[in-house]
Amino acid sequence: MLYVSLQIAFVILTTLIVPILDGIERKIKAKLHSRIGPPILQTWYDIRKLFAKELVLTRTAFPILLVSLVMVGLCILTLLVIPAGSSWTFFSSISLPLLIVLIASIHSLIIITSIVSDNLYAIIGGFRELTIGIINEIALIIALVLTLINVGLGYSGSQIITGITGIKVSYISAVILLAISSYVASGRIPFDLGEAEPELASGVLIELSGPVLGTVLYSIILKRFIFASITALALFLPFMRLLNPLLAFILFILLIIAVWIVHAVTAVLLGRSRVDIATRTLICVYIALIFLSTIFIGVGL
Amino acid sequence: MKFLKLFVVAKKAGTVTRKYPFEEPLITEEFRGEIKIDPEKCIGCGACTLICPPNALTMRDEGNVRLIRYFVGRCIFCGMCAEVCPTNAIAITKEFELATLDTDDLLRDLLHKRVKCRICGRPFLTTKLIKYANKDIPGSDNYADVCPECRSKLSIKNILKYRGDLDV
Amino acid sequence: MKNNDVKTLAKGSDKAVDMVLKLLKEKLSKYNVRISRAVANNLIVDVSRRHLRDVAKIVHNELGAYVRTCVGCDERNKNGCFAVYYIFGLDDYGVNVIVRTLAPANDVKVPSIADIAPGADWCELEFRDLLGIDVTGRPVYRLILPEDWPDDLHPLRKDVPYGVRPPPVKREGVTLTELESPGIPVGPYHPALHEPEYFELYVEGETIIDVRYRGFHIHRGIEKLGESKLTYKQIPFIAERICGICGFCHSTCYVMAVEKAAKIEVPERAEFIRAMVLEIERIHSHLLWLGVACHLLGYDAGFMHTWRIREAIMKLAEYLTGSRKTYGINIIGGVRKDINKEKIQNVLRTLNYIEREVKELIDVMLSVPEVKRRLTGTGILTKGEARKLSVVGPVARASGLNRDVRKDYPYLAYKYVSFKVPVYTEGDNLSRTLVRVEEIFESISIIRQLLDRLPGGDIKVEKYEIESDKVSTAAVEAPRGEDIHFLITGKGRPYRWKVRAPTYQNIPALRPMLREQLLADAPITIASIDPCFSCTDRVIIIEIRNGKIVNAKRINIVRLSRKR
Repeated sequence: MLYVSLQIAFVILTTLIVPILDGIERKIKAKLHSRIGPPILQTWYDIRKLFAKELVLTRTAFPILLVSLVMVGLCILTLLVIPAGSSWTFFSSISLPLLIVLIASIHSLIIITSIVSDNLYAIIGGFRELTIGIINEIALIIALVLTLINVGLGYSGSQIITGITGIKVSYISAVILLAISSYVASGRIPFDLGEAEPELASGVLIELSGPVLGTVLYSIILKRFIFASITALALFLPFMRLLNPLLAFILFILLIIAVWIVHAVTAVLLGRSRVDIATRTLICVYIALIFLSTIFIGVGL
Repeated sequence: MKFLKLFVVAKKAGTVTRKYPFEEPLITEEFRGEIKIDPEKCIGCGACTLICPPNALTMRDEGNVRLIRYFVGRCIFCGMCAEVCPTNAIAITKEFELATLDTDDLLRDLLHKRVKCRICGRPFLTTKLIKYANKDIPGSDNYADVCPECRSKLSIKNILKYRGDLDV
Repeated sequence: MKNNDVKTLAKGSDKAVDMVLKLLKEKLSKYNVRISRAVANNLIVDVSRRHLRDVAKIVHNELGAYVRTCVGCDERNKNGCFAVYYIFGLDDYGVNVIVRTLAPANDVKVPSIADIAPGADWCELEFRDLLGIDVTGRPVYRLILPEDWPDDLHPLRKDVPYGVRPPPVKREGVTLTELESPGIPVGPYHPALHEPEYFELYVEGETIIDVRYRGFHIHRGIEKLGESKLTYKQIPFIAERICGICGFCHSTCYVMAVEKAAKIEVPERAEFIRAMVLEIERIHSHLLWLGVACHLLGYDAGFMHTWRIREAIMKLAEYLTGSRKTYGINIIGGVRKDINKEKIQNVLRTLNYIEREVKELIDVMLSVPEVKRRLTGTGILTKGEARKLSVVGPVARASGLNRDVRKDYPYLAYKYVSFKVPVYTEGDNLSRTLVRVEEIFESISIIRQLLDRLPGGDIKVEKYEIESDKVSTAAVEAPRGEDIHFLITGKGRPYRWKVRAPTYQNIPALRPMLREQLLADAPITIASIDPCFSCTDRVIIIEIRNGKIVNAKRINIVRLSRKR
């Protein structure tokens, strides 16, 4: 019972604090820019303002609205699957494949939003996002599988938690792969090619306004949270069973916030990449890490 | 890895923005804002209206008054008017928070009384301008309250009288 | 003419003018030309329309001059003709050769020289649009006036009153043929561009194949204003507002042109103060540009920090002149505001601060991997292209052309200071960035030298007389390149005033720069010439109605209504 309520608390808490985390990110960015920056609740104010505008359902905005609502729903489902605390509560035996399917669907929905639009900029942004997205998906899935194989045994949720066999070198390289690919998936600079504002006049988001834009922005922030929590999960998983559930819950959330802050700071330090440079760099890095991890596993490290 | 030095740069600079309008704005002592015309000193000569590049200062003669109108909306805050004013009646203030919802708020009018010509009765220059001119030009009291057309007629009459060519 | 003579020559001096005069007489002896001296370092070559092309070929190709601008003028009330002035600059001598040709009012056409001197391409279309002087021997199209402006109304003619507002003319929409690859519109409203301009990029996948530029959306009628409504003393203020960033260059250029025409001896202290404020403006503009370039590359931290440093310059400018921008201190005959010991101390303190901060920040900025990789090797402009199109400013210097007005046609107090002109040869975006960064440091050194040698004395000349009918030019090295003003004096106000801003000369260079580039590099390449469209567009405010249909989809329809 405790686990169920903790999981539900996790979902509700997330939906509420995610815009505040975005506000914290903007404050950190501002501090690194030597300025005051917007108040922490600013993202909530923005979403409230957007929802106060009139809802214009054009031919292309209507499917985008539906798709983004579905995306929010999928994000919430994913949050139910990610263990907060020390148990896989609901979908225990198919948790890993389910996680993979949900994440892939979220990504493809984002790309559908851009392609549905008529606008040239949105289409360009969508294709760029697709290019990076495909490479990144593959790396993300492999990383997820590798981390979970490493910690115990692949598939079943309960077995992962009970079978900790100590931290291996291959685990570390798999976690690095996961960290990088989930950062890329979170759609921040240097990989925010889909919505490059100065270059593409907001790319993917160009045709949206009002509540539709509000929903899409909220789903983007939720997506970022999910990817931060995946990284936190990989880092925290070995220690989860050692603590009591409530403490694990709190520490897990703090770890997600820490990962979010690291993501935020990295985004400020770098510039926006270009689609060909980014693909080349990512392919090189991912192939190297996957290669290393496989070797380490084979050797038994 | 040198790009990580951004932390050092940001820390050294601190926070440089200000929460204006809740804090003071950043103006130096040389700042040029809106102008203020002192009605006591202004003589209504119109030198400022001739030099003003965007025609923010305009002059119009109407009936018994001369109107000098300062329309802040057109002012470029160059301060040339303050430089050419012969009596230093124009002061440059530091006021720049001039936004308003009603353009009539941006009009500042100055009215001068005009002197009526003693001969034909039409008003011509302002009282103060005539007093100002008279200060430096002695012996002009005869012509001081006569308008330019009548003045030329009068002075020719006087010259002819003096030469004895005119019987009066 | 021995090379040594040219090297030790004082550019722009009487001796230089005499040498050029002799050279011209020698080369143009078989054409019936009349060569006369105009004001200062200008020579006027009067040639008939028949020999115009030959003379242009000799001056441009054999003497190696470059086209600075060409001006059309309605001189019907003087001699019944329209006059066209082509201003060629000889960098080695610091002398302008102005080739003038007349077209009588009943036969208003001149032959085109755009194939000989591509730098004159736009100017010819401009005087065709604005004055109705027809140009033969080249493809013509409307460059400046919008499509719905009536055909026979030419704004800069003397019989067209200022403030005329003709009703719009309806024309048929343009239907383009089916294109294989769609054109991507960048503009007129786009976050990458700070002023409205319109580039049409034709792409294949992600590679740009061709570029079409359509500008002049914000023409403001400044030249017509200067000729009809304002007086000599009022124009410096409007000249300052031609551009928000290089305004002081424009007002300095204008007063220099008038002072040359009226032979006014400006006191030396005023020249030093003007040069100092010009350099302050240059530092400010380059810092602004660096910020914008970082922002376009997604590196907002660079943007915020360069603008933080720029804030120090703005504060300094306000303390020195009374206003953060549009300083308003230039008048004919000198400057209005003097500088005292306290202000000098403030300047030196600020310069030290800026030097320190910029060094540190550039280090950080250029080490960000994305910034470096995206700037290197993109938007290449070769030296040959640069020379052919007569580009100016950092764009020219980054492509290997050693061209700087401060050295080639010395003016103000620059002859008393020594500085280096940075020249790079790669011609890509990174070289343009590095040229500007080095120029910041050079400007700091120039200001320090100027303050060191500041002479005493007056700052302005009170009494002067401006005669009519004098032809004069003045050029200033604005942050973006060479800014040139051409003036024919009249009574109380100029008879003809032409402004040619640097961006005007640099935009045609975008076509070779953008070809074969990736679409993602288009905004940063367009920004790398530092476009300042307020300077480029100069006539009456008109909004265009532009309907284009490609593949039955409206890519860009800008419909704005005309204000009455």
